[in-house]
Amino acid sequence: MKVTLWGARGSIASPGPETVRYGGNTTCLCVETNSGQVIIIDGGTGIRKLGIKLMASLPVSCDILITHTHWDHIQGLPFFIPLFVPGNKLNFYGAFDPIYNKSLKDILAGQMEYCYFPVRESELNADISYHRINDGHTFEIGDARVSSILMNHPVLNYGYKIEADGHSFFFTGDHEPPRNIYSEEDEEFAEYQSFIDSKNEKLYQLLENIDLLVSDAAYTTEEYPSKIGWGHGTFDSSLELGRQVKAKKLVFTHHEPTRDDAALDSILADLKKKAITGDPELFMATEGYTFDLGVED
Amino acid sequence: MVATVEKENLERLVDELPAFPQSVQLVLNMTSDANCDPRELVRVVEHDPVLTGRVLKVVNSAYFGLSTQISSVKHAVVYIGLNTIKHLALSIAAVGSLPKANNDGVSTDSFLLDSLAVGAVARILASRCGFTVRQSDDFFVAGLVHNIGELVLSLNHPDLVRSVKQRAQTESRPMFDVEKEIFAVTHFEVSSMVAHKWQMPEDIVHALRYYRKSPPEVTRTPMMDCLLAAKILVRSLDPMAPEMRFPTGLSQRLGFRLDQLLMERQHFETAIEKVKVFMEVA
Repeated sequence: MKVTLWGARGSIASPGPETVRYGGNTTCLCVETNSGQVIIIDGGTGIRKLGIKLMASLPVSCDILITHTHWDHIQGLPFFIPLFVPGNKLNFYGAFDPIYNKSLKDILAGQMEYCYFPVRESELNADISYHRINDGHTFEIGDARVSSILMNHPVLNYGYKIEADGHSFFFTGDHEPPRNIYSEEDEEFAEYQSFIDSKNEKLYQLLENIDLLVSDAAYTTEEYPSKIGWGHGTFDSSLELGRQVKAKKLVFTHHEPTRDDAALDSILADLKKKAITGDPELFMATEGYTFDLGVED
Repeated sequence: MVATVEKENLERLVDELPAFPQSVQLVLNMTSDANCDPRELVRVVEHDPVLTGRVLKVVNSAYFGLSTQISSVKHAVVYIGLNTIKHLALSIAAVGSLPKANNDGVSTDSFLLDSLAVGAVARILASRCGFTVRQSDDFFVAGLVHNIGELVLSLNHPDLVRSVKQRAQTESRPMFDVEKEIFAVTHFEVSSMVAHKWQMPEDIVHALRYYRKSPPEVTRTPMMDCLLAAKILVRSLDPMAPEMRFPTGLSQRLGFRLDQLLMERQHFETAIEKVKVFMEVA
């Protein structure tokens, strides 16, 4: 199983000379199993170039898992060429939005309303189907097994675990580890903590011994106090998750638009200095990088 | 003589209505504050057992598709996040605050749907007029209760209200004209009386009375105009409805016309669908 990062930037695309090494495209990942099954996760701006690559071999048949429908995870889809070509087959998977009472199809079609984009979703020529995913859903896509789990973000965000070819990979989507809203001296603290521990335990069980973990690490620990409740993790919280589940490789993603290549280099170097025995191998998500899980490093 | 007796009866009916749940106003205040203390939100919701029950019912429904049974408000906040609970609490509280059908079987579903729809659209129009999120939420509440006077009259004098509607139709007169003759008050005045009893902000109390028609000595407010526009727009979204226009001056004061708004009908229909789900689940 190979996992390629086509976009690692969070919030908004950030092209430019300062971000050219780690990349400026927003979130998109592509999993390819040994049998050729293609599973894409999220349609940030990085999906545009992925679409060009896939078009080299027609017809295109692929499955697209959407972690959540914030802009930076879907804004590349109207530029994903396989959607426009008859004969291609694409399956979308994602959550129903219970607050807006909208299906994934409605939401994706919404960003292609005529006032935003000249082609409507109903005019796309590929064979497109939409599948609703719930929390704790496990299903097969070709020879891959996919499991979903509800993470913590202002809209419903599913993390996806993919198992194929004897290896496993998990992407958090956007995720802020839940924190106790009470202080230790509050009588409600213990009860609230028990719910957090229970939710975390579910996640740890799903991810135990994961080969590759790609985790939302938008902020540093120093930045986080002013970002509490924004729905994103830190480098340290991602490392903590990687340690808990004994991940073999940990990739920090959702780079802040303002964080240039030099800053990311520096953060990674610091994290590696603090590494302890048993820690996962650490990577900063880099656009264009492929993890070949079948190859021993 | 008849008019005076009817008015006294109506005042007594309004007095006997249950109070507008305090939790709704508190939730409303908190949900428009991006920095609201999450512990406070949890406390307000937990202290209203009806609201708690409804929040949990929605969270545990197929709409969320969770794999874990959520047992409490705190559990819900951990599992689906504070922002989602904030959105839910406001809509569920609003739906739950309105009176339900009485023993005579007067259906309140269509009333509730109309109230929610006008509220949802009024909020959008307020935002278009430049009001803040917090201020626009007041327009939502005004829309929610704009027609409560008609419900009060229907629930307590169903035969008389039917007569009013029939006469209004056969004589091609506005309902409020006929109401004045039969009840000595219009349903707008009753809505305003209810809002006053519920200690709603004065601009809501005022708007409910005059949004449809204001005498020359009363200055039109943006809330009155948004309510009226929302009411007309919601009616216009019905494909069977005859073509409608805003009254003279309304488009000018608001800065947009009805036909312009109807070009975005999907946007408004989505906003209405969003609140409708709580009628079904809550």
